[in-house]
Amino acid sequence: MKCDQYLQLLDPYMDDELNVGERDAFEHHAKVCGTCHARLEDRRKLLNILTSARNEEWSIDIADSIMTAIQTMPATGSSSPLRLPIIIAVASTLIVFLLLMLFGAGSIVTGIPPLDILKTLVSMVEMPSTVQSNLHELRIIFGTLLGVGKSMILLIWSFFRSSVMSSPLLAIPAAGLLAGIAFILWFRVRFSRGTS
Amino acid sequence: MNQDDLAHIQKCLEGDRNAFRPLVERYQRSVSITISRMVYDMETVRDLVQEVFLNAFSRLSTFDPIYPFKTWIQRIAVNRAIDHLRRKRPEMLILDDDIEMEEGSVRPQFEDPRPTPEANLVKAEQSEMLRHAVQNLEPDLRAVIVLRHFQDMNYDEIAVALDIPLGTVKNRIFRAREKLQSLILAREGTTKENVR
Ligand SMILES: [Zn+2]
Repeated sequence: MKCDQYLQLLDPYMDDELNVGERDAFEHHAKVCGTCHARLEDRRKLLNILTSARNEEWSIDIADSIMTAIQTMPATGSSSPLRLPIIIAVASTLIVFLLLMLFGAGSIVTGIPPLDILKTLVSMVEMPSTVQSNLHELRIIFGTLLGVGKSMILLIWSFFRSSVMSSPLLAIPAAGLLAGIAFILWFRVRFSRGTS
Repeated sequence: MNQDDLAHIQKCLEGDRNAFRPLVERYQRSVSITISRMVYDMETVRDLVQEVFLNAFSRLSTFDPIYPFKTWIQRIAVNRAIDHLRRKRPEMLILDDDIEMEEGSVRPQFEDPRPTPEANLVKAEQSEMLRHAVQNLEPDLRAVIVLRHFQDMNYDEIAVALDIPLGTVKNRIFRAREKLQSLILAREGTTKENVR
C-alpha cells in the first residue's frame, strides 16, 4: 500500500467503514510507515476532542411554542405553500389572455385597432356623452365579446369557484373578473334598450 | 423506520395536528444539537429549530417512509442551517468569543458527574478550540462533521441526509478533519507560544 492510498482509508478506518481486508492492509502500513503512523495518531487526537465535545449535554424544550405555531397555521392541510402563488399567477395570466382575446376579436369584427377600442372605452368613461356616437361599433364589439367570451368566462368561473373554496384570498381577482363581466352585461342591456 | 413515528405522521396527514407533538418532543434535542453546532449563534438556534419543525410539518406529505424520520428531519435542519449561514454576511460567520445565552434557551451542560477542576479546564479549552475551528469550516464541511460526530451517523446515513454520493461523503469528511486538525494544531501552537 502506498501513502496516498493509505490517506484515502484513514477516515473510513477511524469510522469503522472498512472491510477486513482493507483494515488489515491499512494497519500493516501504519506499522511500517512512520509518517502515516504519525498521521493516524494526529487523527486520533482530533477524534478524541470531537468525541468529548459530543458528551456535552444540550437541553431544549420548545414543543409548546412549536405546537402553538402549528395550530395557527393556515388550513391548507397537506398542500404545498407554493399553491396559492401558482393559482394567482395562472388566474392573472388567464385574465390577461381573455382581455387580449376579447379586444382582438372585437378588433377583427369592427376593423378598429384594439388600442382604439380601449381608447374609445376610456373616453366613454370620461365623457359619457360620446357613447351615443359610437353606439353601433360598441354593440358589434360587445356582441362579439359576449359570444366569444361566454365559454371562456364559464370555464374561468368554474375554476375560480373551486379555488376560492380553499383560499379566501382568491376572492379578490375572482370578484374583479365578475365585476368586469357584470359591467359588460349592464352596458349591453342599458344601451341596446336605448336604441331599439 | 420507527413504526411509532410512522403512526404519528399518518395521523398528522389525516388532519390531527396534535399528533405532531410526540415527534417534536422526540427530535427537538437532536435537531437543536445540529442547528447549534452548525450555527453557533445561540440567539437564533431556537428560531431555527422552530422553523425546521414547521417546515417539516408543512412538507410532511413529501416524507418518504423508507428512510427514518430522524434522517429526514436532520436533512431539513442541515439545509436550514446552511441557508442561514449563507445569508449571513461573511464577517458575521466568525463570532465573538463570548456566546450569549438566553435564559431558557439551549445551554450546554457537562455530563461528567465528578470532573476535577483541571479536567474541566482542559475540556473547556478543547471545547473552545473546537468551536473556533468548526466555525472556520465552510458550511458543507461543517455539515458532515456535525452529522458524523454529533448525530453519530454512519457514511450511508450521511449520504442520505445530505443527498450526496458516498464518495463525496468520504471526501468531505477527509477535508473537514484535515482542516480541523490544522486549525486546532495551529491554535495549540499559538497558545504555547503565548505561554512562553
Ligand atoms: Zn505511509
